[in-house]
Amino acid sequence: MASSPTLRNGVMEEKSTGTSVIIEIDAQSSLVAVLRAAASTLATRLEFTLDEIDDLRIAVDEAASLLLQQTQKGDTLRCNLDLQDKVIHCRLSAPSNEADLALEGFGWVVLNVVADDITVSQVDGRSEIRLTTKRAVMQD
Amino acid sequence: MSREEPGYPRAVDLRAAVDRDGPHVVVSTAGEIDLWSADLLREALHDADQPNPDVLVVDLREATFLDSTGLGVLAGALRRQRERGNYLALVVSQGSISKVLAITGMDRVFPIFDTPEDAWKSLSEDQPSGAPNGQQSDSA
Repeated sequence: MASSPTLRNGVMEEKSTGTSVIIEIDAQSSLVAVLRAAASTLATRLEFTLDEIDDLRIAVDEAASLLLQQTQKGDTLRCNLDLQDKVIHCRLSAPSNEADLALEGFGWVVLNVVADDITVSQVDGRSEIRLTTKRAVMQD
Repeated sequence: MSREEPGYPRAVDLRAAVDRDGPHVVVSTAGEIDLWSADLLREALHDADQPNPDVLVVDLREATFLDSTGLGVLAGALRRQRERGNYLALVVSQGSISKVLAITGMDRVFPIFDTPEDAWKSLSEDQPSGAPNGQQSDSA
């Protein structure tokens, strides 16, 4: 039987260093919009500019899309968003069914323009993409 | 991966419509174009291609998001139009979409206009008169 995808988990916890949000979704392309929406909402809360919010939405989308290239039915995609004062650290991971992610094409180009400090690694059988987006320092 | 079973939540809301007026065809989109919904855009472009139009306009003014997957679909449609000596133009106003086009350099590849009428006027004037649809040779 077909199972409908579910938003499995949404956790927001206050930390002394900032706010952390963890979202885990079924590894289905139809749910990437959930991650974009969450990232956008959080960036708004940190008073990112519209341009910076766009960058974060695009970055989360492209990272998730890259990871979904390797997932299979039943896998989950996890997205950790750590909010600091002027920075959002994103960590997206999904089971890796191949050796390496295909870090090429439009998606990889776009990701490298809209996000900073991008690292890709394999952790416990999962591919993980870390990236950072920053809020510009406002001039008084 | 691109299309899941019935019952998936429509986290992505994309509408695409084909409007045919003689040799001019416009595909209008509204909503988010991403890994999941790019298939809807692909289907709309396929419908618009039956029969192949001299000038195919994709109106993205009501689209709120475009990622590299959607861009790839548009690039494929552009290539097919060029192979037949015909045109594909984009109508863009939204900042986020302009940004993705610029990041990838595709803003220099697609003819981009403010309105479908501008595209038709400009590209129809470009079209060699009397050339049968789909029969022009593009030696490039």
